[in-house]
Amino acid sequence: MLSSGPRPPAGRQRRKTGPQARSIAKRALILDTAMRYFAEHGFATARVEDIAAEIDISKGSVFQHFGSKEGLFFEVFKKAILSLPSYLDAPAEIRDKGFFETVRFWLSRTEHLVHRDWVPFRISILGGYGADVDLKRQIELFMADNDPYGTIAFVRWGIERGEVRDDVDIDMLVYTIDWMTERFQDAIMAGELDPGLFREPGNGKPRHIGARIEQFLMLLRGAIGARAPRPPEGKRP
Amino acid sequence: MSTTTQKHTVAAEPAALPGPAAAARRIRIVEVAMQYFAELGYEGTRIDDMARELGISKASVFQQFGSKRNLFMAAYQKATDSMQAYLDVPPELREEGFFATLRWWLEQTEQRARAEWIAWQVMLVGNYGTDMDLRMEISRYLTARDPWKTEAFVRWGVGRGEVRDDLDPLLISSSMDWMVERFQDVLMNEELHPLLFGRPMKPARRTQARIEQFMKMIHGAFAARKAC
Repeated sequence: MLSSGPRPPAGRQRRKTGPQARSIAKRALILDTAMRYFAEHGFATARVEDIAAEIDISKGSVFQHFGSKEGLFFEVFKKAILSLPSYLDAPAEIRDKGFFETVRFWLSRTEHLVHRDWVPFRISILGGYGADVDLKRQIELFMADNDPYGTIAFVRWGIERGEVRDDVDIDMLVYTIDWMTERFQDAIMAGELDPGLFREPGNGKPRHIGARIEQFLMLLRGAIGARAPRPPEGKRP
Repeated sequence: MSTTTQKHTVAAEPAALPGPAAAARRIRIVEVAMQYFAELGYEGTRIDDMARELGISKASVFQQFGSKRNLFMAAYQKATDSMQAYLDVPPELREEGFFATLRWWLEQTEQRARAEWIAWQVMLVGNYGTDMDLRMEISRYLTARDPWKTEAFVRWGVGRGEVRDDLDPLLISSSMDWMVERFQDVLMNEELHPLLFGRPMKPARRTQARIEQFMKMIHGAFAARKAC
């Protein structure tokens, strides 16, 4: 769909094949440690030395595997994102209720997911906002090539069901739903991202998340939902 | 106008030398900082280099601003100050209504991004290219500052009966800001938006056609319901 041929990610080398099971295990250990570390400390202030120290290896050894702090974060990011569910992973009984019910399902589970998958979620936010420019570019390319939340398939499915409008290019629809739900989830999750809107002044508690989700779905349905079956519009020759 | 929400400016401002000379220096530092951040991003900007260009010491920059973070916030705030409000259009355009006004602004995107390159880049860097904590601070600032006066624009649209009144105007404003921000990323090319050209849209679509499609979605989301 969006694949655009081989594109070797900068600053990264393909893992060598060979009997180096230990090396593979070590790589996995570095990744897991780094994922937790970045989730806790962010990207800019994270120090590769500290990550290495946690598992008693040298900084050089981390660089040998990942090239740079950016390279390390990029691998962490990919692993984190691919561990998160995609839209159509919703239970069958939810999917049977349709496209917007499936969106509602995921939005209403945001808080739950954040608690369950705190580390990968936090990494996904870091990649979205808190990385440096080159890294951000690599991340954008990765997202475009891999569509990790399965949004393209999800939107096509919505169109086939007649729930999603078919008079707007699919990439615009994908773009809109990805972006709006991402921002909305950020707002639910972080609170800080939109304090006036999503936080009760004073107690800092998220308020009426359920009501917010309803309102958000109304907007989203308006933006990308199929038009009501009125007389077909704009199809005159 | 721009001073009403200035309370939210750089939080930890060290006691700097008072007087017009200090103020002038401060303005000059922010101007140069904007250029650096625009060209080199947040991480890439080195205060040393900036100070050298200004002919002052690095310490003196820190004395004025406390930290690179605060300096960036000052640059970011200056950038938002130069933004125009949605309703800042000729009256005859305004009379055409909410959606016509929004469309007009979208059509101006590329031209404005060129004309105000530094301010736009600083805002992009703030939106995408800093660290998480700074991003949070920026979000709080944007919510308080509302640089395009989106909320007033939305309320005006509601008052005209063009924008739906069955949803919280604040949610409408935020969502519209999200949608417009991201869509403007799409309208800009690599040269204007080096941070984010990862998700190219279909190249066949012309800007105008994309705006039409986008306006359909905007209309669907925000227009007043005829008969509910």
